[in-house]
Amino acid sequence: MNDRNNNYAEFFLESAQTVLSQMAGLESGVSGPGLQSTNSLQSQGFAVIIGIVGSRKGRVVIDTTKETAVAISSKMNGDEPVDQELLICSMSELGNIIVGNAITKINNANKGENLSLSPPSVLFGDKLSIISPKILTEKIQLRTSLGSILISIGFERGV
Amino acid sequence: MDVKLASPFVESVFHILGQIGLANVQRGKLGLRENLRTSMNVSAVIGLSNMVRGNVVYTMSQDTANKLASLMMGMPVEQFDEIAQSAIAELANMIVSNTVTLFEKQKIVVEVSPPTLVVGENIMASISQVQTLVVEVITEAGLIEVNIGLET
Repeated sequence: MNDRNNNYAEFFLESAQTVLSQMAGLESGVSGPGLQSTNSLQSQGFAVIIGIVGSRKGRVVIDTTKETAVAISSKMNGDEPVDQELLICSMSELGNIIVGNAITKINNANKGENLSLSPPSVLFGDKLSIISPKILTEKIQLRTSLGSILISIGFERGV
Repeated sequence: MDVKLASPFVESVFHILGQIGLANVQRGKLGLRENLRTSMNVSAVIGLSNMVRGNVVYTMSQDTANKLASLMMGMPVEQFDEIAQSAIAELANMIVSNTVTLFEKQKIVVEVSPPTLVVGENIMASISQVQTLVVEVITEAGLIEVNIGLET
């Protein structure tokens, strides 16, 4: 894994922890080893996928269980009960802000870097696998009181 | 969503499927959905940014994915394994690259992320948080749904 990628993981970690704290009042710690380079992940059932374009192309997947997603969404909305629409909306927004913040910091820190993000897609279901062929991924496992959240950062090789 | 923006996405599906050897491709139903609930287990998700922001998701059954992969690889594909997954991601890439080219001709700059495949059951998706335009494409390999969610 080259230096630039290592940089990226730190920015995403920092962003995720900050945003979870600010938007959901949720503290999070890193659990488990960070670097794994498989290009597929077994989803816990609920995933937010955000594409990244610009100076490098890739995607970020924020993956958790549906239960954790519901609990986080509730926290984001003053502990209100969460219907499907609010769930999707909240988790989309969470993903959007985590990734948006991280890439802003990456762009500021790396001269000539010019990343931007696509709008989020939210997918959930059973026996979900998320596969990114030809993408080098790094995974950050976050542990919170509401459950665990995986952040997978993947970029095309080369460049 | 500006529905005119959807046509390069659909045109490209026809064009590329023709290139890989599917002769008899037809457009089926067109619909607008709040969310996408699909019974088909393979989805290729591609993010779009710059002058057209959103996502496009191609959905198909595992059986259709295997048949398309077979066509692309020139050999029978029985299981949706790594090789087949690569082939479908590549197919999605080819279709979307063609879409980018068609937009360029209209002086519209679109940047696309690499495809992410999602495989599972009872998949529910919300694409770009907007209404999704769903275009059915009927092929000899099976049904492919083109789900387009654009913020523009």
